Amino acid sequence: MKLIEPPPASYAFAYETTPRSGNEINGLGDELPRRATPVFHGSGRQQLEWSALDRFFVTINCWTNVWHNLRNFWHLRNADGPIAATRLTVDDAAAMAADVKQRALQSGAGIVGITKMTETAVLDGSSATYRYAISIGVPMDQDEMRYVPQKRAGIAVMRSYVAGTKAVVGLAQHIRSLGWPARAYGLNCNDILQLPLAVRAGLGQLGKHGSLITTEYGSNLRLAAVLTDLPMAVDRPVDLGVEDLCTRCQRCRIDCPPDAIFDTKQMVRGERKWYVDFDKCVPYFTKTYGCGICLEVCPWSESGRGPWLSETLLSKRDRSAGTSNQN
Amino acid sequence: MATFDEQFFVHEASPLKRVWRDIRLLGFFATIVWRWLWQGGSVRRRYRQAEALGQVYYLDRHKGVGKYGR
Repeated sequence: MKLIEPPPASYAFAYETTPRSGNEINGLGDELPRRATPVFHGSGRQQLEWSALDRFFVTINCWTNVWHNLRNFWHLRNADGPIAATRLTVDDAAAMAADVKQRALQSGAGIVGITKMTETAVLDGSSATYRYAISIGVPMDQDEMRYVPQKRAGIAVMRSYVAGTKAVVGLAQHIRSLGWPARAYGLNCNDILQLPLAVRAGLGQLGKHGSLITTEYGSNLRLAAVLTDLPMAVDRPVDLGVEDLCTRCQRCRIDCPPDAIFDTKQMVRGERKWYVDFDKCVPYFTKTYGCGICLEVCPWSESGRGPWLSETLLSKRDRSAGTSNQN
Repeated sequence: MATFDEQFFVHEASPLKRVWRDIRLLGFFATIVWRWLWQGGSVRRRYRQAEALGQVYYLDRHKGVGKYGR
């Protein structure tokens, strides 16, 4: 895909007093596992190290996105709420999972998966004591996303975020009506990390650009989740062959104007994984009202290409494994 | 600082509490819009000036408008 010429990574804004590096806060280079610390988008509970840039991002953004933000808050008011007094007994966890997934898809989700909730997906200073996480992906308008990194694409991103919030809030309300606790997490719910939950729920794999890659939509999607205690059968993480491509592919790294994408995996909070340089990425993200270049140029994001790409990569791996076994 | 959840989640099945919450939420929206227009307008003007003159706009000198209106 040919990009509209992106603006240079030079900025007419800066911190007078430089904040602590976002990479340091995120645990880049840390060998010990620990929970992630909020750094940029917050829940409003406390001032974050990079809050001034977050406020600036909202302030310089267009009115349409402010409007979408308000719509999102309107849905979010029902993210948690009263639970029905009579609790539905769940005998068949697999049937319940199928029902929940069906409802999620009907509410606007493009893909959905279920996993057990994990402590590592909760940000430091927050709590979420639920047993299961229902992770959903909402596709973004591919025609509009071709305009990255312009406002027009940023608006399309916000629309998908709001659609995701609406879907998970509806799903959480339904689960609460069955007598089980459920809380929806969409845009502006910064207490949990959506990405590790989506990976564990089998929606896709983490890509070199630090975002989720799915067969259905590539990286052209936004995530939202419902945390609940409703017993459901859980999904397994998937192997689409993302690793095989990302280790060789340079597309997102080359096209990233601030050069924020590493070529190799990094040690982050005790885990070696793909990581994006926060200190380089976020100022450009702010300048361009949400950037999104890496999502759009990713080979997986081309419409209809994912299943073919995954099949090709996995069969190639099988073939080379077969060859090495013969040797 | 109270979070959005603490301010606007209603855990009781009381229609009256929900209506009152919705009214408060609309007030919260009015505050966000007002600040985005008024305080935000001044930030955007100064930033554009800095950009045009090749100067730097310092983020920590002026308070912008966050998504929670503060």
